[in-house]
Amino acid sequence: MGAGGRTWALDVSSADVTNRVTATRLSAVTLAALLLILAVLWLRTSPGPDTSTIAQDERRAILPMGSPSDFFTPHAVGDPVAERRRPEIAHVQVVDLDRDGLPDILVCDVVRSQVTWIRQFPRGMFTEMPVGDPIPAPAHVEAIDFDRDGDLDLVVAGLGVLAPSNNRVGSVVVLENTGRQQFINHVIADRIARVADVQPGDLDGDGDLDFAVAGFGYDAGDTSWLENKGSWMFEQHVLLRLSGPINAVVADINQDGHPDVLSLVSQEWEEIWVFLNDGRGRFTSQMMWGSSNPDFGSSWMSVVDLDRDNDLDVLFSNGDAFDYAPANSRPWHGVQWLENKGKMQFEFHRLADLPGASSPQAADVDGDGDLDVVVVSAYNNWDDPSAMSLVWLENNGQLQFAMHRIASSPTHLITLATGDLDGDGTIDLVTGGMHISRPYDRLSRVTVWSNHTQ
Amino acid sequence: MKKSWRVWLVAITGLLIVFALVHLRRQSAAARLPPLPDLAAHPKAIGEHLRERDAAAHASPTSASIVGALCVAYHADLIYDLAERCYVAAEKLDSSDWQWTYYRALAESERGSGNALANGMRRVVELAPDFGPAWLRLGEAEFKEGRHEAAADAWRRAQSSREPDRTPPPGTPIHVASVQLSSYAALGLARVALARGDADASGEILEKITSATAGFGPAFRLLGETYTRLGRDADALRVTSHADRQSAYAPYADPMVDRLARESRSSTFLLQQAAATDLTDNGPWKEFLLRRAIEFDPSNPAVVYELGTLLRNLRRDADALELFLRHEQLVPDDYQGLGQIGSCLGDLGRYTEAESYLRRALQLADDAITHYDLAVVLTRMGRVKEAVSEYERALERNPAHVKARTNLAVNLVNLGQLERASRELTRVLAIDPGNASAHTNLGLVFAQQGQVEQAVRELREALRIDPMQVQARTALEVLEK
Repeated sequence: MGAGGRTWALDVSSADVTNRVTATRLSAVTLAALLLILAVLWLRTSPGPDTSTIAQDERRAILPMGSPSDFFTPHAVGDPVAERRRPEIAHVQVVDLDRDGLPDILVCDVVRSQVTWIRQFPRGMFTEMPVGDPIPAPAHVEAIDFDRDGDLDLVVAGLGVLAPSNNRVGSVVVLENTGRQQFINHVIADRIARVADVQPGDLDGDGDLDFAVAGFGYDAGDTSWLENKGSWMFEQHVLLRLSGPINAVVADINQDGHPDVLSLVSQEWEEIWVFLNDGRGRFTSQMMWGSSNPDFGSSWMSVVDLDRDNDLDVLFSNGDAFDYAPANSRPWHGVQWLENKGKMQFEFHRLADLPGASSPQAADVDGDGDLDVVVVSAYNNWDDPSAMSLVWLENNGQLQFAMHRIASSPTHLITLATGDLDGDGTIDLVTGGMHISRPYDRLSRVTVWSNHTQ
Repeated sequence: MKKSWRVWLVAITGLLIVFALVHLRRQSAAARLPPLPDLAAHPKAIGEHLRERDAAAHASPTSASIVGALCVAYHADLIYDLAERCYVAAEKLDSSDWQWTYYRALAESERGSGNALANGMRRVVELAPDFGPAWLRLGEAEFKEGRHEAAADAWRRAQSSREPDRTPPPGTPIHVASVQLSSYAALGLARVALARGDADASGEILEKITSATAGFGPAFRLLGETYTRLGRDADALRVTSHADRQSAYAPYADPMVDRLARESRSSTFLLQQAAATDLTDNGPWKEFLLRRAIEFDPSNPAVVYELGTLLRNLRRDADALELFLRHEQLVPDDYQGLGQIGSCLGDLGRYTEAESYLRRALQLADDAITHYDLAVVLTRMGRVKEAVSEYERALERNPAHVKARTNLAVNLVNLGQLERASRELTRVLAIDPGNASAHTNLGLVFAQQGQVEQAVRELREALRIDPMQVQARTALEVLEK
């Protein structure tokens, strides 16, 4: 008790009775007021219900990490890793190219500047061979019957050069299947921004196939479509002049019967755009989503009905770390989806935090009837031997996902495809390695991961 | 006496209650602090940093500034979950201090949440309407959410706001805003105009910014898009070509983020900030960030490599060499590190050692850049024919390597192979039509071949692209005489 307290006591004892009673009452009132103020203060800072933020709501789909999964067995397929040339596989795709009933694998090999075909024949035996003439830095390959002659042709996105560049060295090449899987290159667009993706669709409703093109470029790039004018002639129409498109997906997102184009734009923009098609090749653009983090690192987009409510949702990852050193883990990397709520309204849900996340694919991995998500990691903290390069996100049936590690080696997996390669009714995986940053001790080109859940 | 006893009783009881309440308040405030994570998984510097800030916050859990400092530490060390939780606690302690709301919104938006950023910034601009960067970020968030009107309103406020104070703490360099807040805001307004289909308005805005800020590449690029929409293709090509020669996009130099950078012990964050910093105006700030990264993560080879690269760019080759040699000790067989040592030694005139390092790098990885670096060293050693072979190897591996093709052409000229040199330079220009040096070189080759008309055309083109091409001007004067 300080001097002030003693003075107050003396004052009271020296006053008359009335005053003393008044003083006691006053002190009681003061005390009560003080208590009330303190209680209010206390209540203001007391632990109430969790202060749920918007960001926390958007992360509700993330369940705690699950146990590692050991039901995938890896096998390297195709040519072995070459000495002094580290693998740079930009894309893999599962397709039965020769239509012999056995799924094969298509590969974009940047080091070789070559699209290759890893043919499965007989079952379980894989042999790799080049397809067509070389294409500088092929980034994406799709199989389509372009000329409608009953066999599968290929359309290839050519970056021209893997390293960032504003030079217009990109190309789009159709590899025409002349029968028996012999291919002729038709360059249908070149000297354009480095092309990261090309996907087919009849965008102008004239009955032939056009192409949506993701012209990544570097500081300059664009999303465009190539109108098929016949006789291998195409006219480019730019939809959006923003650098960094990773994917240009053709899908009827608004269910009006016309194929639309969706573009995942990375670089400093980090946006997803949709170009709604009136069916005659006239498009109206709309931004579906955007991040204000210019280093978000968008890396891949798939369009799929993830919640199986009969409309298309958008599944996408952010895991690119090639913008500055070290090219490894960033804590904001992960996987998310945009839930299609109808009327072109989309709701963002984060599914997982995963450094280097790339190429998310929706597939029913565990055969329980709902769609899970498989993801690879291209840029993780590889000096940590437990850093994950391949995971699956198990859907609990309520669109909440628990991550399970499948593998930590090989590292630097940038591309992933799914399919039943061994014909056992389960979803197998195919991955490709992009080894452009250290460490270089767990290399792979193309790996098949056989699923043994049965 | 009895009354006096009662008074004492009331007073003591009151004090006890006060103490109890204070204690409870402290306890409840401390309970809201996030628990320290498993620090074994983090570098030592981050562990020490967080332990120190956490202890301070637990000692004064009702102090918004001390708790806020813990939140900033989590944020700056890239532990977002805990940072977000901590900022909520700091905001509860002092809801009038907007900085915690600002930081929480930033942290939440890192992982893709646009709504969180917009909501947070709306609250911040209510509390701090004069803080321009909040308006800038609000505009960005609204635009990404497709609310163009709200975005334009926010960006207009940002445009008319003053630059924030960016006085650095003693002993640290300033981070200069190479491009002003108002220019970024204007860029946003131009985006809104374009999104509304109003290319004229976009052009008007962008012409003002670009005339005031010649180094703001993104504005030139958007102006190129605007001109294209207006059908002014030649103007579009001109401004896009200018944009190609400016620095890549960098976010606005937000002093709130600079505070995070000064606080951070995370090499990832420090390297991110360094990467977003231009060398022209902010060399000392960039070096400060990289040296901090090395201080906190000395055995991280990427950090050592990055500082070495910066010093190379600053032409401090001897200092850079020291770092690359340290990098070699950390990662003995990294071809990029060996290549850098070789290239550094070459620039220091130690050609024989340089060649040895570059050939070692090529043993490990057969890549275009190392072949190019070796060719440069061989040229300097006067071994022109060998240099030509190395340039050719570089180009086999990367046909779009403009410098390799340009240097190859120069060496071919030295070998008297003018025809081939002109072919190579023509190929350079097919890839990079705005390359003024290539036009100059091609003009000079044509002049040597006696093809005056073509030479004049190329030299004029070089000067049109870059009026500072002295060689082109001199040659043109001679030819025109």
